[in-house]
Amino acid sequence: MTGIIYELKSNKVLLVVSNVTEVGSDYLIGKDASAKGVDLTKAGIMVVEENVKEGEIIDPLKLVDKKEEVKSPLQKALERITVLESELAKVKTDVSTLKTAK
Amino acid sequence: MKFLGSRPQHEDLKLLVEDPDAVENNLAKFDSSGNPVDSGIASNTVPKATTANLTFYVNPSTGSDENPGTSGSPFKTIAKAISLIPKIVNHNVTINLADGSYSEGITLTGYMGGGIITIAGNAANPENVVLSGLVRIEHSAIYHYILGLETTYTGAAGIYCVRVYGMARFEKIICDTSSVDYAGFEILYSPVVIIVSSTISNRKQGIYGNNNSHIYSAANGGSNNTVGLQVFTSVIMKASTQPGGTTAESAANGGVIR
Repeated sequence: MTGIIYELKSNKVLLVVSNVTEVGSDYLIGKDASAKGVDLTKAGIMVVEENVKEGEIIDPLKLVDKKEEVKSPLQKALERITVLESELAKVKTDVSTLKTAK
Repeated sequence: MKFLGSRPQHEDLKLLVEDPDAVENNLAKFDSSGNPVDSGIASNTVPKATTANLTFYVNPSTGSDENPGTSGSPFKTIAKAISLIPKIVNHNVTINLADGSYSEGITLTGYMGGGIITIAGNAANPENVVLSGLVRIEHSAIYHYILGLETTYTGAAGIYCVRVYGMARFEKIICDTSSVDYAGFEILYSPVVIIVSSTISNRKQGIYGNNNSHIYSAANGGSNNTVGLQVFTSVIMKASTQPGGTTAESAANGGVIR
């Protein structure tokens, strides 16, 4: 699988990371390469099966993003924990609000 | 053999070849102080080695390359000052650049020795010393120090180091003229490069290292690069702030940014 970072404005591929082994919200790690600290206001991240090259203009809507397939079980678990912690915080806030109202 | 355990002398080598005169004519010769003397291969008015500190001044507005290059009578071009630097530098060589626009770059190539070549612009206001050309150091094995200037070059990297076997220190350098194809700093085959307090913006890479280079980057700024720091088979050691980019860091083929 190939990880690509593309410019949102032009859809131009800025960076390619081959043999992706891990992907996060703002980073890609491959077997021999990595890219970190992607500015998501300017660029998007996709993991695709196609052989995309740096400088190409892509159509993100026509490519199938396979990010989920390269996430390790640990990474998926950590992301699930993050979601659950967020939901728990929300519940705590709601309970606190109800207690105050009562 | 006669010269085992010690340097071969001219006479030793002359015994080993069919044309002894060719050896005599082509071996570098040294005077009693160990300084090289003209071998007769090339005649040049510039000495081969420094014998004392050298200081030159350059002013693109008021200078002339016919001047002696003093503060009162500066050269017009940086190239003229550089042309007077011997290739063996065992002292401090300083070229002071006055504020102004220079329609040239800086090329330092092929030096060796224990000295330093300093090219000093305006440390307080580097944007006042503007070069249209690139800063290029190559095949050189001394300490190079470039301070306080801006390059607007977009035909390649703004600052380019290749095979700098000594050390290169860049401080308060500005490279922010837009180039989607080229880096601000491009460092190749160079083991000791220091980049500090500089600003790199609007380039393909802020700092790019390849081919076993080791780069220390500290307190640098800038934004809107495609990649802030990028390395292939090289190391960028970072401290404090770094030039920003759409992607902050990219490393490949054993490259490390830490």
